[in-house]
Amino acid sequence: MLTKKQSLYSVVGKKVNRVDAYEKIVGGARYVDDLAFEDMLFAKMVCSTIPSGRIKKIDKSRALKLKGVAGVFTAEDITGLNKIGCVVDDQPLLAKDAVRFAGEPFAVVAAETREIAEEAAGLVDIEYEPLEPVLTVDDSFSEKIKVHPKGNVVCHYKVRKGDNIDEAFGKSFKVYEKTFTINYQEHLYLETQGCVALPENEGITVYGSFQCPFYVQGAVSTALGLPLAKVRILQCVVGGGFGGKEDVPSEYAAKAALLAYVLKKPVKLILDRAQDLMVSSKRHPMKMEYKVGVTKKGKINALKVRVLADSGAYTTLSTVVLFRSSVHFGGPYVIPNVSGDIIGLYTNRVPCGAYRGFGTPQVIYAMESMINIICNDLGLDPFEFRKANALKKGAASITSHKIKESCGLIETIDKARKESEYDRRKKEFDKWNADKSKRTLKGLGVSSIFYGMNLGAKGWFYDKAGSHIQICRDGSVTLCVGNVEMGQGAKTVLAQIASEALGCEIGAINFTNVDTGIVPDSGPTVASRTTVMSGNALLDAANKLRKKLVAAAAESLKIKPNQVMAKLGKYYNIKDSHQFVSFKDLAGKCYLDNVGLSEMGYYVSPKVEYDLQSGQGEPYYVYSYATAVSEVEIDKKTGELRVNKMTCAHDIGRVINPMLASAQVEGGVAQGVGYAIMENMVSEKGHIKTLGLSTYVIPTTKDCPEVKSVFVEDKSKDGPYGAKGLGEPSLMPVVASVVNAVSNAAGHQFEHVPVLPERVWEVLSEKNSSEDESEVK
Amino acid sequence: MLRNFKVLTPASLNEALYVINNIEQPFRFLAGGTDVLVRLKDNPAYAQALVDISKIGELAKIEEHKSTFVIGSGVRHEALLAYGPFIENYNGLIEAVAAIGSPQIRTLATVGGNIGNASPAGDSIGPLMAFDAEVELRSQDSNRIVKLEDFFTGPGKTVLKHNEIITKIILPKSDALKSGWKRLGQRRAVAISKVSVTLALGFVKHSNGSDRIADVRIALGAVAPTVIRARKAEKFLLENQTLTKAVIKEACGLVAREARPITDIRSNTEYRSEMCGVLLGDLIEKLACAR
Ligand SMILES: Cc1cc2nc3c(=O)[nH]c(=O)nc-3n(C[C@H](O)[C@H](O)[C@H](O)COP(=O)(O)OP(=O)(O)OC[C@H]3O[C@@H](n4cnc5c(N)ncnc54)[C@H](O)[C@@H]3O)c2cc1C
Repeated sequence: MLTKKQSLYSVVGKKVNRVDAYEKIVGGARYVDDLAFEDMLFAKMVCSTIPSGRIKKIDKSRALKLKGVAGVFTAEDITGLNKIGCVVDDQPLLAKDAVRFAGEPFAVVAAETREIAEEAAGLVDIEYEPLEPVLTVDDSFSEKIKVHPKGNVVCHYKVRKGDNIDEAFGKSFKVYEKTFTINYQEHLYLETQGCVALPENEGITVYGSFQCPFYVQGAVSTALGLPLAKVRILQCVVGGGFGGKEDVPSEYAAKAALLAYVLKKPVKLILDRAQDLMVSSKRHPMKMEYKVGVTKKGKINALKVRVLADSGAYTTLSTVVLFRSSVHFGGPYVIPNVSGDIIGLYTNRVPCGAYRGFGTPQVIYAMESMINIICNDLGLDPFEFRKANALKKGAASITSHKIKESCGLIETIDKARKESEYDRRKKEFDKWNADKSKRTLKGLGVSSIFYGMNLGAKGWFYDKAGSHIQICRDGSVTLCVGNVEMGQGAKTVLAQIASEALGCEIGAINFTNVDTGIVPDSGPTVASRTTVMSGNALLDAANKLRKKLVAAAAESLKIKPNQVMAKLGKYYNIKDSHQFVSFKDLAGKCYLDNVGLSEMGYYVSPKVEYDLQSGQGEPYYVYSYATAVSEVEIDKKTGELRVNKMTCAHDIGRVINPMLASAQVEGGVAQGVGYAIMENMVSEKGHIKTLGLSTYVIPTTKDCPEVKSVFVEDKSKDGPYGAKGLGEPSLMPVVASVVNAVSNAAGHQFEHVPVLPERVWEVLSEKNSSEDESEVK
Repeated sequence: MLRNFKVLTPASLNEALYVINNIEQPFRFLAGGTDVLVRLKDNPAYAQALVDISKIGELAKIEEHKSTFVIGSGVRHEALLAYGPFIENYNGLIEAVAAIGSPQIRTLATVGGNIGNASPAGDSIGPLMAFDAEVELRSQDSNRIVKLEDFFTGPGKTVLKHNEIITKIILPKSDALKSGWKRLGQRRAVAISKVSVTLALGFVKHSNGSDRIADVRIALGAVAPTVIRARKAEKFLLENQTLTKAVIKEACGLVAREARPITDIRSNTEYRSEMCGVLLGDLIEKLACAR
């Protein structure tokens, strides 16, 4: 019998090792570039070298003459439709009349070797009439030059809450205003984009590195003019995605599929790093104008925000990404009067799209910077201020979403303060900084976030997931879901959920990679939704199977079904644990009794109601919450920065696997630290200059802080075992808390991210010289 | 395009000299390959042939002579780091080489390659130049010794002739010098220097018991088309002899003005210049205290 102290669960909540660790460690995992097929051709995209221009002529003849070239395809060779846009139809698969960013593909070649393909790509000639490019959001907003005939506004989200905003500011005790800017961030997955397309059964099969095989299926079907059922997508082991492989791989898969389909040979298309950096989507750069009013009691009473986001030359996922910005720009706070305008704008730069956090780390950085300014100015405690304004059950967000359940924000604030030993550290740092002989300045920074789970109001129609579970007669179990393992640990967490629900041992489970021929469209592996969506879909299938197994066990043990308990490969008599039948024997029995042990599962995200005109309603069904505290140290003379420690407290509902959850937080911290103080994508006149790993610099382990992660488990009624998501929240508070810490150390709120040593040094030198002057006076 | 690409693998230095005397295509040496292969991948026109010298044992030795150490051009960074006399007396060199890339890179990459690549950011170059190192350049029928300071003519450019190879680096013994090296990069490892400074200082005891500067060498990396010596700052320190606060400040200012950095994707002119002064100040402090 279970004692009260024991956990109810035997697999869920446990530190289970990653089920895919072994194959990765021994080098057995097969990534797409490891695949080879007979007669396989290699493809290479030919890309625009100018940011904007009309195409006058494309000449393939020189490339076609090269020995070993199998084909050179341009827009006119597309058998289906020349469109790739995932939500808005504004992007061609291959540029036909115009190029809109430097790097836009207008042709794709296939050849017998990678080298020949490279050479042939250089022999495809194009004649342009160059046009003046639109390179800034301000220029785009002015609409002097139109990137697309319909105008430059990709989307404009409004949030209007409460009184007339200007009147509201009139009632504020103090009003703060500041404009922030933030640069691109590149995903920099270790494995670049790639796929292999095979003509098969009058249709096409595509292997690749994807976050959403179903988007790829749709794009290939459109480009080839084939029914979906003739397009099969098989997921390979993925070397990182971070949002960069959500919709973007469709562009490459459709090209490879087109070549394979017409040339009737397997075609492999793998991007090299430089091309990947040049053409694939990035995190949106933004210009963010913030105005915040606070009352005498330290409550935020008014917030006015205007964000201009650089969407680049095509929409890709901008409309959904920026929808998220519009929900999250006010942070996890209760603010009675709000006016927000989030405007996505076309420019002649690389398209921006999905990236871990989906348009929120930028606005969180701006909002949390404002709070830092306010606390410093009014001498308020950063935790108390946040708590006083925090969302809690019964309170409503800036979109007037009344929070009904699973809201552990205040606990994360308390935990972050305690676990970071903030108060002791603050005293130590103040003393350190007062000592002028010290070479460095130290600072602490805080940031809190909330994050809507799943696809929300803007993507509810995609928000479903399927699963398939098959129990073989020897008790081994095959699982297939529609969301992908891309390094985040999905297979392990989902196997834990299935194992708990089926009462089988985790070792009995074999997880297959996504196959669109087996599971129904399950939407993308994004929005921190996989544990919840695929987890619930698996539970649906597992519960059906469990019923059958329980009935069989009851029969074997000669007890009633409600007296059966299942756990770790055994079905017990609840009253006598010595009386049991093994999972294996049950599977064998069912097989002989002709009881089918194969089930489909399906789950749909809870429906939400939202009014896009006013930006009011329930944008998401539930939120994850987090608070992070950073400790940084800056060199007074060089401006060099070091993030020494981060303490992150996350409310993610039930923690299915504490080890993986901590690892997720560590990964988010590393990526966030890079974004905050290091990663600097330089572009000049519409050309990205940092096209390699030695110029687009991300942190090494030596640059990463010590990470302490703690969890608050305010369970969500709709999550599997009460779980919510963590994939994106792990990164989201990082930039803001690091920048706040740097700002507090330097005594200057940094208005641009990344905060580089050059800028810190400049700020500190200005301060020094003004201090020197005042000494003279 | 690698189709007509040639890789030649001479087994000895003599064979290598013969090969480069007779080869027709524009070629590069392959020592550790950590620069040449990266460049070749980015730009196939970088070379049409590689002469693989990585297995020529006679280039991979460090020898001690009466007044010099002779470092074979094929000595790997990790081997240099393990060489006792350098650990004892050439701290600046050790610090610089230990910062190159990562263990993987240092295990493959060579000192000759770092010099041959002629990047103004090449990290071993500063300390070697500060120690007045020379390089031996050999061809089939000539043999000349060039001061490292005179070897570079611009980024990626040197006085090396098409049929010459760097065989050795000759490092004068300088037991009396204390040295140090510091740099700023975009991150803490596997980073290309934005600025690097080498300082070597020699002191003598003055009759009044105080320490006087008898010898100063300063080299600056990544702040000019080649690694350079900061002659004005050196001269100033030598003339002033004692390291007062004012003298240090002045020297740091001088060094910042001697730098001629550019603004590029890694940093900017003003910062790089100023940092030469800051790093020099740090090194002076460190070496003056370490005595
Ligand atoms: C990830 C990474 C990190 C790096 N980090 C650093 C760093 O922190 N600091 C730094 O300074 N460098 C760094 N480098 C650059 C490189 O590793 C060094 O410059 C290294 O010393 C080059 O040596 P090599 O033997 O690999 O040269 P190779 O690549 O074999 O050759 C480089 C050049 O030198 C020429 N050459 C080689 N040997 C001779 C010779 N005997 N005579 C004449 N010419 C010759 C070749 O023709 C070629 O042009 C890094 C490189 C990588 C890939």
